[in-house]
Amino acid sequence: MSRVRSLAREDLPAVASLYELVFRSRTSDPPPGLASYFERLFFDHPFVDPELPALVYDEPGEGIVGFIASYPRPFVYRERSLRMGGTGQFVTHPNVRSRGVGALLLRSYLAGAQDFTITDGRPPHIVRAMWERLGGVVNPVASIEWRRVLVASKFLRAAHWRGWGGARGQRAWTALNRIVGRSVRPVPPTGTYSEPLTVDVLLEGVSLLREVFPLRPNYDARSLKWLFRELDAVAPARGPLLRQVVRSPEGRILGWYLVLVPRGQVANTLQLVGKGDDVGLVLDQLFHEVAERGAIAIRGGTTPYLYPYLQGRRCVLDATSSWALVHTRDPALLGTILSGRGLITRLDSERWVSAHRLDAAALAKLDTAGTNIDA
Amino acid sequence: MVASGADERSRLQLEERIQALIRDVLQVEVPTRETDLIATGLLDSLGLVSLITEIELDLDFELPLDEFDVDSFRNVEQIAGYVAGFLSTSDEARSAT
Repeated sequence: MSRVRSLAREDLPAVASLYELVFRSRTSDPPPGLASYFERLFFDHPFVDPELPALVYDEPGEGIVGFIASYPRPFVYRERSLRMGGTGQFVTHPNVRSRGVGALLLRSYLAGAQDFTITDGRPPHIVRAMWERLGGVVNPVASIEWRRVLVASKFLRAAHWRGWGGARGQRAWTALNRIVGRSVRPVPPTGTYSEPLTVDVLLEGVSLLREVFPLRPNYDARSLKWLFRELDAVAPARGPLLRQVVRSPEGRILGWYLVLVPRGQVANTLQLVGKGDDVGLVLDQLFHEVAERGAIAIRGGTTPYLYPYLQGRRCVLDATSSWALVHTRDPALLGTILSGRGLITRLDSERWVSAHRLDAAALAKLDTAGTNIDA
Repeated sequence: MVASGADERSRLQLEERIQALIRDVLQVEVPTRETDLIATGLLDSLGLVSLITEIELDLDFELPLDEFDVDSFRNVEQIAGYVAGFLSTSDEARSAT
């Protein structure tokens, strides 16, 4: 009998313990709020799909020794409804690594009811190899992370260069920033302006881009409100969520972005969208605003529509730190995704999830905030 | 007796085929048909996925996930027995339709 089954609520303490062991403190003693956080991620939200559950490997006599997360999202492809399965946390107990637990979990998940599956985290080589053996492919452009330094001296200092500490170091960093910083500090954009991105404007924007992106998320207002609330709730740990729509002087929507901006740290772009040359204008607005809010650098996932506009904007491209993988049985759909005509961003993958970043205090605050989807 | 002999030959041929796939796919020579591939570390998660995929391609069928038990894949003999059982069930189902 198969030991792979759907995650149940009563499994969550064991899953939290396993995740704490492998990805967090290396002990089996998770903070009290971690199981509750998983409950809101896997059960109590509007994107949940009972046919796309997270999976566990339940070994008789040992309990849960493996887990693979599931983040479903509704999509539309050429006006046909689709389902995306986003995998995320993929964990096996160190004691069972030789028993094929991971292989069976992944195989089961990829064979699920979804039309396509993605992951875009930092899977080890063996996980990437398993995906490929099971028919998945690397999405090469999406595997590249772009980075833009905003304040050179602070970024270099944060990168822990030795011998530059203390008062002498402070003067040196300040001098360095005067020389180098001016050239990397984003130029304030002209001719565009931004304002807060509302749910309605985001829905409108996605709809306007249906010709550009035949594959795109099929959001609804309720789901987006929940997602924005979840991201706002983790602000103390990951920085406030900045969500802005960028407009032309006449008010036309040029694009939008959603980015987490921790002051004094690296901002994390979850979604940046625009059409054609408008993308460059949206990037300029993003860099300027994030710098104004005190970020020392910014990063995000590359896409084919974004790639040309990263050139000439002092962005560094890193092809070593993550893999974007795709699995689907539909060749036309795969072609659309790999060509960049699928609007798949970090807002809909595992990247917006904070399970590995929230300490005990942050988890406790989330716990007391509750899980009312329609609050 | 004849049917039993034919079944035995068929089973041995399947075991040889499995052993050849393990050699080709995993680049390992299994000492015996009873060697526990998982306990000895010859078959890890990647190897298991690769082997299942190759068996399915070679024999042109798909292993059912609901009934899959990793204990059926511990040695060459067990794998051949598991696959033979499934192929036999599939043949009967096709004959009945």
